[in-house]
Amino acid sequence: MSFPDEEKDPDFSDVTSGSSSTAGAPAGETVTRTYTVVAGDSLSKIAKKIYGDASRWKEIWEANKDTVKNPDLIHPGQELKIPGA
Amino acid sequence: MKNRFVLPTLVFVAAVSLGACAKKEPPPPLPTPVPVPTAVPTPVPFKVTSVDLGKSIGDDKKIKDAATTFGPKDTIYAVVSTEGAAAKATLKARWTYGAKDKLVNEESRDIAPTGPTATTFHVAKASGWPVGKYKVEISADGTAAATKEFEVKK
Repeated sequence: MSFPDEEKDPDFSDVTSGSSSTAGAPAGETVTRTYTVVAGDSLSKIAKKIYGDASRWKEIWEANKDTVKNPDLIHPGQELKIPGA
Repeated sequence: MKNRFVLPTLVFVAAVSLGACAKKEPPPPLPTPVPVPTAVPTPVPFKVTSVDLGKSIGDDKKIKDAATTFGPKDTIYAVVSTEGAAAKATLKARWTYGAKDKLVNEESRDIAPTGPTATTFHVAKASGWPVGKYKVEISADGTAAATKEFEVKK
């Protein structure tokens, strides 16, 4: 499959996303959403994408301290729990 | 003297007899109700029934403007309809671009459905989507459920 109009290496780090459901959250769970890191992401960029406020990156870090030891070091493909979203 | 005692005695005996006659037999106990077996509904297993793409959603959380071709500034919605119940189910949307399936966005949502549900995922790009072909793959509890292709044109 070839796409003649396709860009060679597009940057998707400014993509914003969201989700909602008519179903409720599982009982006792506060984190119901996860986000997968893409190339160019940082915790503040993700906070901006999700909450519209880059300064809330610490909330994401707090929810993922078991897997993210250094907040400046996240990897594409890494799944992060998104609290309160 | 004798009559003074005979008359009240007769009245007493008559009263007791009448009382005894007026007494009714207690009604027979009602039969114990036999429990009627109720039909237990067969639980419907949780599954994705459809995925619809569009440019906006309505108040009912359904796609309002169905589309498979979008403009660079459009927000792209994918509404995942499911049926069945589960204490916890995870729906994931993985958006990719081009022949090499470059990852655009991936996120998941945990839900506790009790019947038919609509779960919406959306993506937007302030600087504009690159033209080309895209895919969104929906999985339920880690199992691929549906893939929808769409295109962005200028």
